[in-house]
Amino acid sequence: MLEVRNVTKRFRGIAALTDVSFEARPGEVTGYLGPNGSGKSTTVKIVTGLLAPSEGQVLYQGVDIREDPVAYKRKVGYVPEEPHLYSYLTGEEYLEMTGDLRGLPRRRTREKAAEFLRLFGLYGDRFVRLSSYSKGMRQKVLLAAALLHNPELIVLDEPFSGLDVSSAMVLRRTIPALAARGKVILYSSHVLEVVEKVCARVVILHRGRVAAYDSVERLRDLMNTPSLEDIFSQLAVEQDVDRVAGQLAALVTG
Amino acid sequence: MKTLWLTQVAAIVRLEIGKTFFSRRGLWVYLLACMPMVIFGGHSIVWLKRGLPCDFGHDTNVFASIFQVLDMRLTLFFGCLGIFMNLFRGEMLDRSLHFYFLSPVRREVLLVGKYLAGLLAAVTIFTTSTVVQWGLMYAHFPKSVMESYLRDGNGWRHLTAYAGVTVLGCIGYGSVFLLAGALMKNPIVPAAAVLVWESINSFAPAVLQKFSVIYYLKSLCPIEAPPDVGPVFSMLLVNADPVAPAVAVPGMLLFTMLVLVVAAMRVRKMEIHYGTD
Repeated sequence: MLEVRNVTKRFRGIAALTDVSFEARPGEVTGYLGPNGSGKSTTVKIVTGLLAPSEGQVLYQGVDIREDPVAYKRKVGYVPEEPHLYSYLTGEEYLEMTGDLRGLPRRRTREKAAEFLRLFGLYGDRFVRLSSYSKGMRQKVLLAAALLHNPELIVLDEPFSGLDVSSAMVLRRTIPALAARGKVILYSSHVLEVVEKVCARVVILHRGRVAAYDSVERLRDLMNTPSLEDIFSQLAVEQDVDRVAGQLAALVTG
Repeated sequence: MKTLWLTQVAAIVRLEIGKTFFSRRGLWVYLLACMPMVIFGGHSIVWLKRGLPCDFGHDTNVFASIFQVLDMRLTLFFGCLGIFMNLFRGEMLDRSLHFYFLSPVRREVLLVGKYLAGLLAAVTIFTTSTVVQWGLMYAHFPKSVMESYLRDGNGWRHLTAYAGVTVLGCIGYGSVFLLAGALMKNPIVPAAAVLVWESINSFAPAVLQKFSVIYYLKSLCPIEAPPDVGPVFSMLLVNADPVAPAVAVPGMLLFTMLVLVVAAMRVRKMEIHYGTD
């Protein structure tokens, strides 16, 4: 189980996260929602060990992740929001490099990488440099790299970014399937429809604080609204969406 | 499992070598390495075309002066800056450093891998440049004279000394700029600071002189600075308190180790936050 306990993160004295606490359990997908600038990416970076919290701690299986960061990272698979890759490597080379750095046996890495590339429809492009890949293709390589070592904890930050419809459909079914196999999944996204479909529980973040943390069903009951979008609108959207949309349309056509 | 760190170092070196040799950002490093070759090549062409008499002593002194001023203080300095400063800073700019930081790789292992890759690239580029420069300098000499110089004279000793100084320069400057790249956001500030320190080092007290790359490199050059190079150059070339190679080489390596230890401590605490960098 992943436990985020009273985490606060400040950048030059300015709080990006304040006293954030939640848990992500094995066999469940935990959604992590929030508007731009709410602190989602900061949380994800803290959970993956890229940033250290100013206060509080992150525990995995009851152990602070800073105690043995190398051992912790062996258990984590992370799909970042932006697909920045080493553009001069081919898709296959990138996955092999990932396997080498993770200490996976070369032969097994090759076999698994080839299978991932086949399933993602990239096998024919495996010798093509990543600089020639589209955003969606790069996203698929990142997904493969994150899952290559069979991680216990999977952190997904906007994993559908750039994916075509069929790949997105496959991934949407893969996430719950991985959770069903006992993985701990933290899923950060703006796409509420997908979160509603795949997540058992959600954390809604607003201005660096947890505005809500419960199961989607319970939140629906509590807020007396039929959809996650309505819940999100009430908790984390400050502007009058309809009014701003009207003003934008008027600006375009006026 | 015991050799995992070796596998990781090898993987990092492979990846970094490709980046260093083939990145567009590093193009000017090649131009820097070629610059002295053009000078020495030009010298030989002019001598051959004009049929000027060959003067071994003169050319050897000219090579020694240009090597100490141009190669050691400019080419090697800025070349290593271009290669080593980019090892961490470049990845911050490319937003790709998280690839390493997310892997179960100790930061010290990452530092060693990156340093070795930078060193391999720098040594290949600049030692080749030094050897080619040396060859071009004497290219207008008759073949028999060169053969005799290499066989019976000091030819091989000079050549290996210059190549050795180049390698040690890469080792020393590499560590300094690796640390600077991990420490500072703006490379101009540390580069200027190191340049000033290396330039005024001759005037520093004897103890402080030892914390400089140029101090050890100058001690290892096979030819003393010629006295007729003018006051400005002689100020740069003179080494008032040279040390023996038996001290200079271990001294340089010890200095490098100290710098790398500081760099490792810095990299251990490094956080990824591209937005503010």
